Amino acid sequence: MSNSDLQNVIDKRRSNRLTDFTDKWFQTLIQEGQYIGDVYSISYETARVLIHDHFRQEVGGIPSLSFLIATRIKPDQTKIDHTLEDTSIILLRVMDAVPLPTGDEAERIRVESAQLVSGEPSRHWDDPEAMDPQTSQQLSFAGVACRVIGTFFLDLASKDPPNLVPRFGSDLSNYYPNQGLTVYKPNDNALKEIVNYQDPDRREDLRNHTRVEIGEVRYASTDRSFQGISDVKVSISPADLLEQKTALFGMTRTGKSNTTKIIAKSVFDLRFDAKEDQPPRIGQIIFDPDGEYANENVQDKTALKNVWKSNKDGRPEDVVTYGILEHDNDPNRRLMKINFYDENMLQTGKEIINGVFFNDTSKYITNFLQVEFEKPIQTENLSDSENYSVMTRYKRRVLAYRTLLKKAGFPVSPQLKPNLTKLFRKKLIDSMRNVELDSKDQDKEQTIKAAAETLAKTSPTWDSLATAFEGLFYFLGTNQYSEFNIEYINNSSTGESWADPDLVRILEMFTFTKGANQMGQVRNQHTEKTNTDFAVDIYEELKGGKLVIIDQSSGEPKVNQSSAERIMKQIFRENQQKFRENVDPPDILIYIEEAHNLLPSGSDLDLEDIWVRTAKEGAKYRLGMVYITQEVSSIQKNILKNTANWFIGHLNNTDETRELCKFYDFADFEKSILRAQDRGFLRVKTLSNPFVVPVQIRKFEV
Amino acid sequence: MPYEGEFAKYRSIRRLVENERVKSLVQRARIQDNSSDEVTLPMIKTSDIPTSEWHPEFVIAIDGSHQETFVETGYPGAEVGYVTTAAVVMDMAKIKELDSHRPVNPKLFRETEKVGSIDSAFPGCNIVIDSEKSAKRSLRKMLFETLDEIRLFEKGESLLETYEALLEHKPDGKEPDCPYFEEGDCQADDKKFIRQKGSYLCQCQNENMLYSTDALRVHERMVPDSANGEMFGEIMQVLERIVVIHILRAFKQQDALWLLKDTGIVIDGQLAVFGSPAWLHSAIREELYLINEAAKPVIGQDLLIIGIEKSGTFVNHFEKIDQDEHGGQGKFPPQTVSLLSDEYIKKNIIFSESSKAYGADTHFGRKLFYKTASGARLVASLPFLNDLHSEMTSANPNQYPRLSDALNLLDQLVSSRYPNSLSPLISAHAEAAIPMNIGSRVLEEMAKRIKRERNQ
Repeated sequence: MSNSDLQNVIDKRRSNRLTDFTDKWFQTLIQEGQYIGDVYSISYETARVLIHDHFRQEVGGIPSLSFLIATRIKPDQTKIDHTLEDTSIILLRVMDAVPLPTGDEAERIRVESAQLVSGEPSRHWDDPEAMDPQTSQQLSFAGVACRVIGTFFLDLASKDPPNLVPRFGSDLSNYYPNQGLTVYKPNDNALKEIVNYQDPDRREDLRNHTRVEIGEVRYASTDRSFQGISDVKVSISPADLLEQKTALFGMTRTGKSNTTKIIAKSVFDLRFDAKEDQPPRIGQIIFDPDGEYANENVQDKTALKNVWKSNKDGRPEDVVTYGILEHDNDPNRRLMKINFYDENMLQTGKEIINGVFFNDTSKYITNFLQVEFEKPIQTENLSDSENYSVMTRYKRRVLAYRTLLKKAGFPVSPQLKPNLTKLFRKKLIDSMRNVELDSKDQDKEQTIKAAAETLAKTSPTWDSLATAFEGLFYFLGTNQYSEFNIEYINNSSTGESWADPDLVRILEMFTFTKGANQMGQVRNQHTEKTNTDFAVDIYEELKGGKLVIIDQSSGEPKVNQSSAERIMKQIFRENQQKFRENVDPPDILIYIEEAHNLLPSGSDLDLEDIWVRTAKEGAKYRLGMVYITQEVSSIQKNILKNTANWFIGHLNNTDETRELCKFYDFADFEKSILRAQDRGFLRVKTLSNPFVVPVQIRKFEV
Repeated sequence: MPYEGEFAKYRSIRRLVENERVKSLVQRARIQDNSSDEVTLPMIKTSDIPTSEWHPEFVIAIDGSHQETFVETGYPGAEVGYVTTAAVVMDMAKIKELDSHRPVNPKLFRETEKVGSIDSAFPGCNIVIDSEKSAKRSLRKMLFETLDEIRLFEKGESLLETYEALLEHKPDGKEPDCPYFEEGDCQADDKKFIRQKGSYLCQCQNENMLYSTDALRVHERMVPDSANGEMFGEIMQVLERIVVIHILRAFKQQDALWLLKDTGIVIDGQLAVFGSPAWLHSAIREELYLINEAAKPVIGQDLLIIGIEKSGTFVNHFEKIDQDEHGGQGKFPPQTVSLLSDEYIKKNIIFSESSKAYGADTHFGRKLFYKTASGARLVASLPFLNDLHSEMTSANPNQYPRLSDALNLLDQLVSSRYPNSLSPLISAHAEAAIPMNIGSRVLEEMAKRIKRERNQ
């Protein structure tokens, strides 16, 4: 055997390997029995197909919006050269009927035939008695208008060994107007290939290649079993959702929650992927305004919180539920409470309280909102006496604030007692004792004098302190205080007044009953029994890949809102910090129900708003977001433009669908979205799948 | 003749309406008098004639088409005529079987029709072939050659042989002028054409070439400096009729007459030949007599041949008499036939007081009006297969060969596609018809290509 003979053998084997793959690929996609007709007119955007009723019937009908494939390759063709121009499949979507050039004539004949049987319900105009075989045959041809979705073709994935990979181009690179293309309705296997196609390059980019079934192909509301597509499973790559924005749109009762559960489960189940050495554990957090994820469904007893049970390796601790209030059926629920008195929680607690006052424009409230609790750090730039002074002022503010909390009804731990040691000097107390006010302010004078007695004590009660701080605030407005303060400033190393502005702002709150009462609204977020922050706990759980469900169905809406914001801030801040430190932040997926209430609309771009920031900047910090709403138009365009995954259910008006039509090929589905109200019937476009697939999302069952 | 896009104006119509000579003509025109000597048209219900038990297996339909196109020869107005004759064989039994399960696979349905066509081209104005001296001579030569070249059955005779068989039936009588007479190129004493088979030399000293097909005299229609559509129409008519006889003779020659037992033949148009070759009608009638005589013992019945008129005076008349007094359609009940006598035709359709029977010089069949079960109005003709059939003074069912089978077949063949149409003729026409626009361009291109090749 010569060298050239050997070379021939090698070349032949290479070639056979490629043609074998090509032949098999085409055999999967086209079969003679699935033939329906021929393309008789084509452009870059549309194709018109001539279909005879016989073939339409043979393949179980051709639903609107169904996929068709057109090709020059014959069903029994072998040794197909993948490099040839004709070795491709054009993917079409059925849009509507289109009249043939003989349409007017056909219409006339049908009308005339119908007139022949008019008034005879037992006869149809297409009966042999009314229409002859030849005419029936001619009129059984009809045109169907299709949109060209793109082209499937084979490309060399590797040269040695030679491997081919199917690729999809979202257009038509060329066409010959006078070349026929044979059209097939894909069978189950072919359809499965098509709807589950992933772009190989994007697939490579995904951090995990697991595919998870979410439902079955469904073309129309009228979903009949004979159509031959009832069992074609559609899968998604949960990894498509990571770092990306995902939209889930649909009217109430059209299956949004079920879809959310299916998506959340698909991401959760990644941890069970046996194919991976270290299967990813993706942290997910669901803000659950109606409690439908945190609690069992009354009808079918399913609950997302039980998602861990779907796999034998599932662990209950991987799902954590949080709520403002306890729940009888959820004994393990963690409460979103902090100890407002705890020195480490002071600022957190204050922020929650600030949330209550967010829209209050009263002067004393806006003053109070400015108060912050940041513990001073001893610094070498200051003298000892200066450092001491700063710390003393801080302690005074903390004492006053804690007293205000007590006044607002926040229960206090018995171990925490007021400690006034070295906070109120004798000269101040003496000055208060000697205060003399006009006869009309005798009440205030008495209050100030009583306050002096309280402040003179080392450890008075919280209640007496509340009155004392009211008296102290009155005293700050007297001439005696001015005299005291001048002397104080003259002797002070810092030149500052005795009462710093934040202390004044806190003290002022004691003089208004309403202020303390309003603070009491967030009392149920407080517990005197803990010393940790639930937002920190939640972030740690998400970091550990847990599914966290925040039940917002109980408790005050404002409180829930402020809690959610705090959690989001914590998540955003922590991942942002890691990003800045060049550490890989953990992947976290955030589900936002009723997103139109949280995400910005129009040109509203408040970058202080944590939801806006997460929506706009979350991707770089590995924060994926699934936003769920029925109001597409209420979501800011920039957010929509940056949305990679789309799950679209029924929408009932064109204002919403019009927005949607701007994206991908959703315009094809506008009528269907408006019309089909079936629960779980969604149109799905994910990052790695290049076109929209209509899907009946399966029911969540755990 | 108007220029392209030029239309007559109302002014000229007004002038004509007011013209005294026009008025006089209209006044002198005889108005049909329905009050005296009224000949009523008897309507016969199909249930009143013997029921047809015949189940057709096959139907053969024949239709022709012609199209003229101008070609560049250097001479102005040079014109070629394309004539197509299509024959369709429809497998009626198979259609019935398939049609019981609609919708039928179009591929299988297509297989129920076998279509064949004869495509030929003839010189018109300013087309001179080979070494011929004129377009007329070229046409005569081409017609002869075309008939000589075409045979529909591999083992059968050519169309020329069929024609010449018909030529033998041509009654003796006054012969036409020699084709060269008009051109001044005939030296014979009487200048008369001498009929023979094949091609042969004129007996005069000029020894010009003559053809058996010259007897058709279609060349006499040629206008040397204008379009010749009428002449090509005449050629088409001749071809259509010859093809029918060609098929029947082939059955006979191949001992396959038994096939005609379950076969019907449908021809587009009247069972007649008009114009210069009208003599063919009697030759065809004679030939049909002979074939029918041979076939009858084999198939136990007469041949079934139907001619269908799609337009014309008879069609208009049938439409008119189907109207009630309010102008609504439907005076004729479905499945009713009216048989037309010479008297009725002359009194009501083609006015004539001639003693010669209507169609005596042109027709080889007689007409009837039939309203099908589906309500289609058909003007059909059945052939003369014996002398009784051609007796036009009466119109009785026994003067129409296989009347009930014919009506039964028409009920089966009538198409919803066009008003008053038959499926096999639609198919045959679809095969024969040359589309006006693209078709003309294709023919022009072909002519140009041939010219280029010749010049190379």
